Amino acid sequence: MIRLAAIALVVVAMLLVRHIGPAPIGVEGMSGDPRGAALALGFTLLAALVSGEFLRRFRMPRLTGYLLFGLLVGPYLGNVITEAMARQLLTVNGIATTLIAFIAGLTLNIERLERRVAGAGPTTVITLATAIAGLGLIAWLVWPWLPIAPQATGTAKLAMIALMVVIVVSFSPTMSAAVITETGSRGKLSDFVLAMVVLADIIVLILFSVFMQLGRATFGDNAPGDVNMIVRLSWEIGGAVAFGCLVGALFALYLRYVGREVTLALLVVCLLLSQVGMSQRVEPLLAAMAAGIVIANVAVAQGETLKAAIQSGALPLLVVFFVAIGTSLRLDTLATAGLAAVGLAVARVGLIWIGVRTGLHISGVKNGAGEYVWMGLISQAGITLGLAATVATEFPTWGGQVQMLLVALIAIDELVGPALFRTGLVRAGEIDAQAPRPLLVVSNREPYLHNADDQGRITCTTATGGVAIALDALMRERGGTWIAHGAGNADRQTVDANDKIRVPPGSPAYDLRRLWIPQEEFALYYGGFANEGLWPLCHLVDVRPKFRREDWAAYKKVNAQFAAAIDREMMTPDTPVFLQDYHLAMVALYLRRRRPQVRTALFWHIPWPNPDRLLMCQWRRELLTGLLANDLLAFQVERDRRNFLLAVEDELGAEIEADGASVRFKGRGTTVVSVPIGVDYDRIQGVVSDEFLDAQQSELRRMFGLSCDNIVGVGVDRLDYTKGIPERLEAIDRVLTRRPDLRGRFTFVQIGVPSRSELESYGAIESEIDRKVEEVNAKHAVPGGAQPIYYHKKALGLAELVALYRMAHFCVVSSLADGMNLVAKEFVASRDDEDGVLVLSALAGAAEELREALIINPYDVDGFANALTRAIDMDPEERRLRMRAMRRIVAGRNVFSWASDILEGLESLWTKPLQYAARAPEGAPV
Amino acid sequence: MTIWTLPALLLLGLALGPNGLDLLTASVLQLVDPLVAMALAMVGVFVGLNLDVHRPRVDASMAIAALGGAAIVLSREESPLVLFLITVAIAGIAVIVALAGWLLIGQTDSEREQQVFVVGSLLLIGGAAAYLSLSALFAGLFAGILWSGAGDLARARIVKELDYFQHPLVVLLLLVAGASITRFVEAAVLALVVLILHLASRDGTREPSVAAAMPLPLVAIALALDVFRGAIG
Repeated sequence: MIRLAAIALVVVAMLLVRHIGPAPIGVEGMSGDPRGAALALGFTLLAALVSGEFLRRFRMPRLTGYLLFGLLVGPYLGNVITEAMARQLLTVNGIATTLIAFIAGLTLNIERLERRVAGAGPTTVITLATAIAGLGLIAWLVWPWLPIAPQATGTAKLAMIALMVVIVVSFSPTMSAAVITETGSRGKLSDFVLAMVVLADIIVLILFSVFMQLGRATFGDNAPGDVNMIVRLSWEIGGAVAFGCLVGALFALYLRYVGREVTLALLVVCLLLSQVGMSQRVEPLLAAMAAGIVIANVAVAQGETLKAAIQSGALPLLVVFFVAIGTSLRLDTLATAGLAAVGLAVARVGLIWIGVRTGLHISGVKNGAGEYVWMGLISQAGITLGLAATVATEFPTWGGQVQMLLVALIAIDELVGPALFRTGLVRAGEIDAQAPRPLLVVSNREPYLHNADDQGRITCTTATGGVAIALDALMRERGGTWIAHGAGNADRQTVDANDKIRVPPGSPAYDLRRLWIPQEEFALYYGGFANEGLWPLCHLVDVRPKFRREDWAAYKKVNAQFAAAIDREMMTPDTPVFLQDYHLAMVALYLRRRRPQVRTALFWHIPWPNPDRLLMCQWRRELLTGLLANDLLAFQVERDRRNFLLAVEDELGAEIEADGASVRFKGRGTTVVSVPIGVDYDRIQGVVSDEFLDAQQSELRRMFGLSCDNIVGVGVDRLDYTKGIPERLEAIDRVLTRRPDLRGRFTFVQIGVPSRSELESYGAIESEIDRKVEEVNAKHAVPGGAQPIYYHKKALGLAELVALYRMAHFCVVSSLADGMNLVAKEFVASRDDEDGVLVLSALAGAAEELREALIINPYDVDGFANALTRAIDMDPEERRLRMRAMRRIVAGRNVFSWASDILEGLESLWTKPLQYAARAPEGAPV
Repeated sequence: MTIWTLPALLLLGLALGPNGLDLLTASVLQLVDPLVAMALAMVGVFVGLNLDVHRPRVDASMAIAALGGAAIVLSREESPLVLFLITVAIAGIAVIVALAGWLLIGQTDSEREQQVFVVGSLLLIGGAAAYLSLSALFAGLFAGILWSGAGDLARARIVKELDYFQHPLVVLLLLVAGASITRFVEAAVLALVVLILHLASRDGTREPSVAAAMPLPLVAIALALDVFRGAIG
């Protein structure tokens, strides 16, 4: 409804402008006037995108939605977009068609194809030959009834048919790839179809160039067979390929060595290819495809970067292109063309079916799924439309009719094609049509704990951490299974015979599979290796990591136990597995021994140490090997990612690929990325606008003994030696010593949640903090005044935390080492009043993003104290400007985009070949 | 941007434009015209976004943007009532589009859609002004003010998207402004204005606001280009 209301406003604005604006001064007069161009483009982008999405609800493809929208608002129907504006929209055609060809070229990775295309080449050639010959013959026979140019005869008729037919037989690599990605199918049929459509594209484009030359010769000044024509054809094709290769190579260099403003550079390249192509008479589409192929094969890593840029930047251009085509259609002519298009579509399907069967037979391909290959070749989309638009532009007298017929054909094939391909994939057993795309999440901690009280009443507690909430939301949407250690004292009582329980309680959406780890073993694995070994190893603090053989053995054993559980819970062979954190470093390795084809991603939430510090761990090579068994490995910040790459290079001699994002080790690749985690921004905004927030704040003031006049600082931490709490207290001590005027009216509220207290290092830090709090309070307390430090050793709920953040003048995050630190981001997200100062340690990952915070070095107590004083004294305008800038960052990067970035990254690796030979380190359990 | 970036890009535009090497030909300038309208609207939006609706305060950027609107309207040979109505109309249209954009941007989680909606809104605002031969900077200012007072989430998304394509659009704007200079006097006056405003707006501090992204001289150049386009429109 909101979208429709917005579109109604856009239409009102458009009609107002049209009403107030200059009267049309004739088509000719307006055609060169660009004044309407921006107006039409803006209207198109806003309204067409919504219309396309709206039609998706009725299972209609977006492309059809855009075309229909263009038809509806175009000059021949709604006239919201006038004829002059429609002409302006058509100016994007050149760039858009070039971009489409460029995208098609990018899909052609020869190395990848070679593994898949045994027999695809001959089958493609035979299929195209059959379809072209058959359709050509049919078109020749029924020509008088086709709504193109019934009076044409001889060479003219032949040239028109040749061009029309070569476009009619074209396929859509983008659509085929989209169906494969969307369904998550993997197998011979998917591979074979993808190879065929990509190869067919190249052949079609070359044939198109030849037939365009034939067309120009026929309708221009050259006679067919003329020497000039052959020279021109050679120039058109050879020149296009050479020019395209040159542009592709230069663009690859730009991507590699500059790599900025990629989307803009891409559009400039498409403009260059289009303009130079037209002015120098080289086929722009062929040149664009050649450029795409060069990048996809010579600069593989840059190709991937470019695909990401296209995903984010090409949408506006393509929407405008499709709408522009729609505005050029006439409903009456389209109705006439529709009948012919239906006939053409039926003939096309039949001939493709014959061609594929013949091709498979002749090329001797023993593909079990061969009988369904034709189903994957029906879709048509952008490239077909691009070729049709080119013909319409080049031959305005009859090209427009061809375009009309082809648009109707594309609409049919676009509706039928994807559904047919999906059916083929189901029949070939490459996807389960009924199955959703479930997910397997694996973590040490579970999202729902069941605990029994003294009376035996069982209650369910929900994990409150930002990551747990995000992953829970993701699982609710995707379904699947979450595997975690069952830590609640009533967990066993609530699971079924398979150790599972449906969660969330009340609206079950996925399975929680609990894993039982004996207490002694858990202590060694979790308390020992993970938290006394890896945790201090990865955090650069003065706590020596302890690496004990029995801890390491337990760690491996529990990881193997997780792997076995995943193996049992895999719904389908291609279910993505999302592993969480440093507790599970070896899981992927053990899992891959059971399932070599499995796809796993692991997010390492804590920092990664530099190579020198890593030397402290005697099992570092095994750990690195275990991590490299994942397909995707994600760190919080670039520094951690870089440290990891240095480590695998130094320790394992692994090969870092040129893109710096992939590691090759023992014949397989792992993509290593940094994806900073965010907070659930929308949920926090919901709490912020809650009417009970004021009451919550009053309650907190009462609890902490604060008045509204007090200056309040806040710190929220797990009690951990990495959080820099003693350093923080030292700095507060220093501030109150320097500024006695603050005594009695300043309070620092420290929320400290005890954790891992059974470990010696944690016990020590808790005692140190207790002692320091007492010391500062004794030193600076003023009778009747506010207590200098209020220390609350219990976790607060989200609403209480938000209320606390909002009453604070500043928030302190003084980690000595931290992967990210979500408290910093939660504080910013809570401050919709754009007030409050964040004092943030440079050693927390969040400092890489929140640069408008007061950045401190927690080891420099004087500097830290200065920053606290500055936070207290900062004028409201500066506070507002800083907070506004930080809120922009936090709002733009929420926890859901973090999760989807990683999963989409994992799933985008789907079509890459797997060649992994699992070799576990010696002594690893199976 | 440094003190040298603005004049350097203006000079580059002048060198590449029809009065220089003619690489930025009239047809190329016509091709990028919608983007120029969008860029002008974007500058206006940035200026408007800086207005705190709770504590409104007119700063120099805002005054320049308003001046652009007034200059173009007053250059028309119409009665005062018509001029007033035209001003109200362009402000109203900008507000309607901004409202639609705000609704669309606020309710979608897709970053791609957010981007398209922001681009579409700017094009429509700039396009409406261009179509009516009015100031895109002025129209953008109203949209920016509305977005500044709008819901926090949508505003944050809008600013994030603006940040994304702000740099290329500013470069384009400066190149086109340079290419539009036809006489030495224009160039000299423009350079002088840029220099004075730049020096006047320097306070040596780092302001982490959206205004920091739109230096005063840039707003002045946008005004000059806007008036030029309005005058020839």
